[in-house]
Amino acid sequence: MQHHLESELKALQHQLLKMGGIAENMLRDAVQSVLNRDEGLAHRVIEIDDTVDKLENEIEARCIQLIARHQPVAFELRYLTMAMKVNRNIERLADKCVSISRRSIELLAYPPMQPLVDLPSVVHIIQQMVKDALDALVNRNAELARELRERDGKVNNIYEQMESELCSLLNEQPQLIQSGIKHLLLFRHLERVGDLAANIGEEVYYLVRGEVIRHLDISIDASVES
Amino acid sequence: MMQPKINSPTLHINDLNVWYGKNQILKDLTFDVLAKQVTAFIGPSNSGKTTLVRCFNRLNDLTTNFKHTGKILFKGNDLYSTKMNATKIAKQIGMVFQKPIPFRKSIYENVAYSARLHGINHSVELNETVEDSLRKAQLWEEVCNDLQSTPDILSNGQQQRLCIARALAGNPEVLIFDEPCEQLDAAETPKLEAIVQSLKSQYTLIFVTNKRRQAARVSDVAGFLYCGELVEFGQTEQIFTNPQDKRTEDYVTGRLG
Repeated sequence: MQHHLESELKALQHQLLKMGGIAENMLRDAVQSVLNRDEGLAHRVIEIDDTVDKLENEIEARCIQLIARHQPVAFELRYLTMAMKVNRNIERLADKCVSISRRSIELLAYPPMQPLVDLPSVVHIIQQMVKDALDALVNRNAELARELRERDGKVNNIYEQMESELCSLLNEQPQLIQSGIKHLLLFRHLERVGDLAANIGEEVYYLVRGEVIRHLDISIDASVES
Repeated sequence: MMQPKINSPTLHINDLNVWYGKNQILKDLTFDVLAKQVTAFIGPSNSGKTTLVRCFNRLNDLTTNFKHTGKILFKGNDLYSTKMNATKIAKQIGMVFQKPIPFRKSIYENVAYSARLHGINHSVELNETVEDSLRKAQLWEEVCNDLQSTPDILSNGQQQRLCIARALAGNPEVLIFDEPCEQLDAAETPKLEAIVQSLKSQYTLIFVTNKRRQAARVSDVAGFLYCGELVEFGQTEQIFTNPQDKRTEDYVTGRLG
């Protein structure tokens, strides 16, 4: 017979994944709105954020109710604490998609800028990180969850490179300063999406292994692995 | 199996096996009980919890067909060595039982009895010990004007606290609580748990309970016994957040027992 809380946790996971799926689509559309200068798509991303906000509240209320009613321990306790944090991270991720969309709309006022780096390939890494974070949750895959931290490190490096190249360009062409600032903010939003995907990975790792890797140096991961 | 950090164990149990006749009750138990912390034993009925703690003060000696192998060292000395005096052990390793059983004497005499056994006979010292023990058991304020009354006037919970005071007056090193809240009402249980916490700094405390949440609240270290086997023994936090054995996980989450 299935334990009562088990079925509740399954329903909770279903809701979390629904929210994660919406956020994934928001990220795809927000990025497309930038690349294709599609204002309508950007507005649709902004509109859908209300759905994610509502889901965040529902999931949080559900977690609190399950903790109060079942007083969970062991895996179930880890699951519910993880769910609350993943819930928050997905909501913040959706907020970043809204910010990307807002920058996308603002950038329409300026002529397209010569791409500083291969933006689509950076976007691809970040989108894959979000997808893998949710896959790690579904499959309770600690290794995939932990590995997101490494990819986040790479994204941070690319962001720094983009920032430095943009600064050089703006030094040479100061008339691009307004558009440049919008681009800088856009890169920053994308970099934060990578952070949030890595955060979800850290929470999934805690769920599966019962160990907190948050704030640990990535170099320590090698010893964790061994 | 995860072991708690070592800091000179009060009790060292090594490869303990216990039988009643042909029935093996405990199987290959090895662990340490440390001072100044609460060690809880949890597990379903008939898992061997009470049998285990009764080994610590040799109460099982009185049970027919009791047989054991392995060692129980109390501060380095073999509890079951022929040189050990079972009465002396009982003084150093006190016990509070499921059902409070006060003596049919006054409240004062219930506590003074243990103090006298401990060699305290001078009236001033005796009065001090009785008051101190009743204060430690958080009962003094409620009975200080009724010391000559019999325990009949006390509630079940107060009687249990009187039994704790009686055990403390004998100045034990170890105090074992064997499902002490089983017969207490909801209001008394938190009081008893508070007493356990307050005694922790001075004694080695062992707490047997079949209430999982209670073990999570009161103990520093917990052992899960199942069918006579110590399935898992470690920091309570670990047992209740990240148990290493599936059976422990099933027990603490209520799927087992």
